[in-house]
Amino acid sequence: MTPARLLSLLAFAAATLPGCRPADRPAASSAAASEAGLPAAVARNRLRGVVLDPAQPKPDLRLTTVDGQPFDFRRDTKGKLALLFFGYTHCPDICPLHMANLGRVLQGLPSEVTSRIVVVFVTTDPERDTPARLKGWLANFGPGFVGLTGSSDQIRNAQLAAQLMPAIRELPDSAAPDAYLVSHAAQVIAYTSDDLAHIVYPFGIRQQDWANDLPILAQGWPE
Amino acid sequence: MARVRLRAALALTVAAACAGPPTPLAVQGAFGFAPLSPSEAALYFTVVNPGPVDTLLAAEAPIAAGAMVHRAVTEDGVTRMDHLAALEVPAGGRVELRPGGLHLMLVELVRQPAPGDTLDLVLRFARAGERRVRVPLLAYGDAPGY
Repeated sequence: MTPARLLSLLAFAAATLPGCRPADRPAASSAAASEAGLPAAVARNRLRGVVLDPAQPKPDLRLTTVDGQPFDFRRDTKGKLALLFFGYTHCPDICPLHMANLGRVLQGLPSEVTSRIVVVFVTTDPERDTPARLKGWLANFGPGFVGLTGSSDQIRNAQLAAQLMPAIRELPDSAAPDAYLVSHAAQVIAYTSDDLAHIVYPFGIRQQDWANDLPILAQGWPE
Repeated sequence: MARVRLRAALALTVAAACAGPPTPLAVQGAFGFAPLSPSEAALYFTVVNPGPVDTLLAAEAPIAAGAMVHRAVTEDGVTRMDHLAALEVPAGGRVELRPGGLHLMLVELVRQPAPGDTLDLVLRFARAGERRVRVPLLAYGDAPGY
């Protein structure tokens, strides 16, 4: 095989393999416009998240918002795409990056899509994440983020209900006793309007992936 | 004849380059995120080490009381941060600190830096000695590659 033939084959493979994602994918708004009316199987195949089989039921979470209001996860997200994440504000790597990537994409999507999406962030560190601190931290990512807190038991049970391993407080490795770390599940769980999670988003999902998937999921699971 | 001489000269040049001092260990592509927490920040960089095996022993930044290397490890669906007392850089290899993998965590910040600021960082290696690095800070969300 000549080098030129090999190169053209490689280019063809890069353009057609599902794992290869050119950096110049369409931006969020054009992707949103093109997703409407796609056959369900086509829409499903386009998704970049990790599909769950079987799907998981939307958990019955009752916690408290950063404004002190009760929040019933099933009732208060009914009919919407609910994106659920457990994390904490002292986390400098995964939590803020995951949320900021999501927030940045939401800000670029048309309001007919974002009006169907609610992001719910539950702190895994209720002792240090006061409602005021959590509220201020979430405001960095955009207006639509709901921050929830509760007792340690409530938060542990919420993670179990969402079929996650509960977060664990790690022993401090510095002299300051409040400088501990919290190990926790790092995926965003997406519950579509059928009250099921068919898909999750581990850390590493990029903005272009969110921009691709959210307009599809906001219309409901493509079934 | 001329061609043969040129080849000989080239061979000599290559031999001289190989016998010369080795390319030193370098720290490349440093960046960080302007922290949203008043107490912690994460920095990233790549250590390129053409020489023998080396070890990152310590990091110091005037903006923070302490700095430690963390590695994100996911087991049984839970992601934790393992603290590494030292970070080995293989001979003729590299170590990349990047979001979701390894990061340098600054703790107990003395002030809150903003996106666009640049932090001073000193990395201390067992063999290569000190490397001074300037670390530009991005806003979370301004690094769409991660």
